[in-house]
Amino acid sequence: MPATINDIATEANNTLIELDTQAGVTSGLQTGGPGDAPIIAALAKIHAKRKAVADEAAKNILASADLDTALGILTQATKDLNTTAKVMTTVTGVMTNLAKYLGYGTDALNGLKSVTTLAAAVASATKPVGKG
Amino acid sequence: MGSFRSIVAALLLATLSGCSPYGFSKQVSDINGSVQALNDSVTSGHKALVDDQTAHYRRALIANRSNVVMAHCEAVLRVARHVPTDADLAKKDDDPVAKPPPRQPCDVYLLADMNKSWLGPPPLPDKLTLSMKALTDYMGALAAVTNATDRDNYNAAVTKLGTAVSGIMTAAGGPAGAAVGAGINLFGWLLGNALDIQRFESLKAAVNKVGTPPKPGDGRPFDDVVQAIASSILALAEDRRSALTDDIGSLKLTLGHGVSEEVYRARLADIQSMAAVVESLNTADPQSAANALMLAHAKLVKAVNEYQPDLASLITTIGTLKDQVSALQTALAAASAPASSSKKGS
Repeated sequence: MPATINDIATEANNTLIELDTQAGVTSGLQTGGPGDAPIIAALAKIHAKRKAVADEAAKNILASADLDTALGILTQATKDLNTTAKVMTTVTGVMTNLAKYLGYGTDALNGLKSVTTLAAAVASATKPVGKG
Repeated sequence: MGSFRSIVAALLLATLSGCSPYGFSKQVSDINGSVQALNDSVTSGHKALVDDQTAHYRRALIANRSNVVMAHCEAVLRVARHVPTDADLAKKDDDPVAKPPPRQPCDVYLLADMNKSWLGPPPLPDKLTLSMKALTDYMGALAAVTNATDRDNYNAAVTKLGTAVSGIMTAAGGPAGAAVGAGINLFGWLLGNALDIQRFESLKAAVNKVGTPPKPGDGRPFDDVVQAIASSILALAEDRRSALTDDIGSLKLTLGHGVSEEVYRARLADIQSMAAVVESLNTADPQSAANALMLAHAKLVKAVNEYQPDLASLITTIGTLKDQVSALQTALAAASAPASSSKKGS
């Protein structure tokens, strides 16, 4: 059975802790001065191992099939969330536009009403007095 | 009429029982901020690693007083003219764009390195970039579905629509303009609550799906993606730590009575700059930030599933997450070389 992401991360962490301990012990052997060269060289080897362990774990996790599955689930959930979030914003947009057009309609009706009232007033004012 | 009443009653009950996504708005937004910061630490950490290696190369040149050659200064990027075609227009924004191959910048190098196309750390792996995008997109979508501003805008639109309908009815000489306006507001309220419930259910379904292992023995998808990013950051931090500690070790061997006070001082300053970065890398483990992020999401899942969510506990976890991601970001982005390091140490 292939290792899970958790297995890979845990194993790498345990190895890194062991290497940290080795590095700590080696570093403690320094006395100061150029005589420390072999110790510095030994430390560099431990650092290289530490780097290799971390790089290998990261590489294996990125290549794991579990990550592909996880990314698929995350991407699908993101699409679903965005679709739902869009419903309210779309409804809001439709309502805003509708309100705007109804506003134009109200203006037009009021305008029409004013014209009708004006026409009636003009008709009434131009009606000859005492006729009819 | 009976069914209308039951719909209103159901919506009222759902509203009162706390089925609103907006209660999680602040928490989701805060987690989103930390995920963005984690994302930034990958890119800034990678850039800092490139800078470290450039500084390391320079230190080696200076220490050995090496003969150098000028290289990669004639590698000019020449792009051919391309008139847009129908195929270009059909491309979607998220279609992958071919990236240029990594190149070594114009500089002076050792003769042995002259024809190497790339000396520094390789660019970020595509799968890591994909994982970071998936995580930030997911958090962005959670933020969108819990965005209370959308609801405020919706309420404003309903009010405007009610006023507009009422206005046109009155203008048309209809007798019940105000009553129709009130009816629209009621309809808007009902629809708004239905949309809130839809959002809440979507939030609940998404966090549960992402927060539950697909099959027994698997990890949670959210945790797996976070771990992939954390392990890559750890590798990045380890690369920096190794390079810097090795440089400190090499430079430390040159300190002693044999060098002038000025050189000693310059080298010591160089060592101290690198040591400060190593110290912050030693104390800001990417795994701590990853653990806090996984815990915050697990608590979010728990909270949306609860009748009375424990938001205080979630807020505390998010606070810890924020601190750890911030420390990690600072540690990874810290410059290891003093501004004048390339000119001293000779």
